[in-house]
Amino acid sequence: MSEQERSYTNVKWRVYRRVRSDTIAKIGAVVVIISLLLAVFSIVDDFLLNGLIIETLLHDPYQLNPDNRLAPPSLSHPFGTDEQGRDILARVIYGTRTSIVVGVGSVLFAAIVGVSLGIITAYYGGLVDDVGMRAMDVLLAFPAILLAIALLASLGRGFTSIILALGIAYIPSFARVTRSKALSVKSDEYVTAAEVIGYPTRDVLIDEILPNCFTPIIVQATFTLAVAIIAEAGLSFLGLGIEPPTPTWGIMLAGAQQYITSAWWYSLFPGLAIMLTVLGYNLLGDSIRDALDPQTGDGERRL
Amino acid sequence: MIRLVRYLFGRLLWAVPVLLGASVVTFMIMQLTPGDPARFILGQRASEGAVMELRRELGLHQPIYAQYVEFVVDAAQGDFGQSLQTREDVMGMLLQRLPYTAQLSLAGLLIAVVVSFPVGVIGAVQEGKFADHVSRVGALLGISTPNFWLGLLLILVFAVPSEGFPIFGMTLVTEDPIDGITSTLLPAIALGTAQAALLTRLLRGGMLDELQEGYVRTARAYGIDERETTYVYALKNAVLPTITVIGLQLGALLGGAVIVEQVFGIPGIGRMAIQAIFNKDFPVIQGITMLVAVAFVAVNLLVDVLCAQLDPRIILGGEK
Repeated sequence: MSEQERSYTNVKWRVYRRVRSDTIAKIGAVVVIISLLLAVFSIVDDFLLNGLIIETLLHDPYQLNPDNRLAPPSLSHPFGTDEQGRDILARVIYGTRTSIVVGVGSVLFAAIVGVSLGIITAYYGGLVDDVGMRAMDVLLAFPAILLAIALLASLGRGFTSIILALGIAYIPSFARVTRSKALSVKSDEYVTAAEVIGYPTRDVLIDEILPNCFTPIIVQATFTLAVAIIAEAGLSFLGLGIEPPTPTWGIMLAGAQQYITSAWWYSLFPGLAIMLTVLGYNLLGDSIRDALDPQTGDGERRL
Repeated sequence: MIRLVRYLFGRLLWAVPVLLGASVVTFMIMQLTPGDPARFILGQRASEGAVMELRRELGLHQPIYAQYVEFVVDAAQGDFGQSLQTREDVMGMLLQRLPYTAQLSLAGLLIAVVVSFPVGVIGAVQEGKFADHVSRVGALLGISTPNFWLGLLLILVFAVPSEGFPIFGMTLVTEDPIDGITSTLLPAIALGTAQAALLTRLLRGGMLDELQEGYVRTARAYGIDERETTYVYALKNAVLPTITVIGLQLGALLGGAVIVEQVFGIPGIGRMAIQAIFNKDFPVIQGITMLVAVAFVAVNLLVDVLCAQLDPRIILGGEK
């Protein structure tokens, strides 16, 4: 027990040390933290305070203002306004929560199902393994976006649907990563010891095998989050994701498409928000992987 | 040779359950949808009798397993039924749209390969130097940029001021080579950039691993030309896993094409899929998802065989 606890703390320590010492990792971590803070802020401000803070500091992100439509960036509207005269900066800030909630939600769903599947198939092997992995092959035969689109066709639009659709599409990657790690972990001595002592199988899986598979799962989760944010924006852009008037970066870009020649700011800023956020998660993912993967050693190499 | 045939046979056997599973998923999409498709097509005002008649016509009156068996048997023969919207044959619609998606995806892949190979290899050879930093930052930006936004930016920068690049629609190369290329260039860049970035990262990592291998040290010790060592021995080994990933990335490429087609107004299967979803045109959605699954399985089978042919270390079928 103390063995694995020590290795787990060691993992956390290695990641922490790396993020502290590496400028690139620091940038990634800062972007990720800002995105999380903005998401929390917009949820609190919108649902608890009715937009009080954002209205005081900027503008109401929902307020239509037909007299001021497609206004270029100015002091009052740093990112300009959209076709309905709404402040783009305020909407970009509020849009963070859609990306983060959908990203975190779908990754959590995929991780919970995928990790359970990976550990169970690796531990039992045989027929369980064959059936489980064949099922993953089936899901992998569809491109994630297309699978999500097809699922959204039957689930309809909205937060829950898109989280489920993307979550299902990302299950196989978690299952595979976990399974291959669990396969090596299951023959370790402490697992055998737990089995010999007579631990119930459930405890062996959860207390012994799972904590030792955390490393690749965390790396996978960070990268999948980056992918999920792009996917959500893409689905919303296509009109299949979140429903307006909820501000999301994808819907904003869909609106901007029509005014591409007349209002460059409308298509520029929401896209920049996506790119910066995703870049942050990718940078952090790279650093975590390098910190945890003994093969890359100095960690500079694979970035 | 016998080994190759046996391997191919084994892989085809593997493909059967995967495709059957894919057909179940595809079939379920329609079943999971709340409401009656017949009622949806005819609208709320249609009489109960008309709805019943359409249900019979669509085979919806049969029990689910019978519907599924019929779906699979028909699908295996390339018959996905008729579009609920236009009454056209789904397979015919797919074949008509497929060339556009194929042209876009292949052009995107071509750009990805042409960019990633030199950039990834130079990055590895110049490790830690300026060129390496540029390639790393570029690759990170590439995987972080959504393809549809890149498409919008390309339209903003290139297509609007210069009339040279059409921003809407696409001409097939087989119809008009010049127009075909100019109309494909911008969408292909939008689609291929993320793939290029991904392949660059892979190739760089693969090259760095290979350059540390024993055989490279041996070759250097023997005094074999450094260039030959790098670009012939190491590159050859670094490329193999990349080819496998290219096969696996076909899915991402096709998925990306769905969105890029929408940005540039390209009449491919992606645009068709989006329209079908808004119209709840299930035979079309089913046809597209099955077609893509079949294409994906086929390409990856091909890639496996190709890799095995290129790398003598891989024993087909694996001696367990």
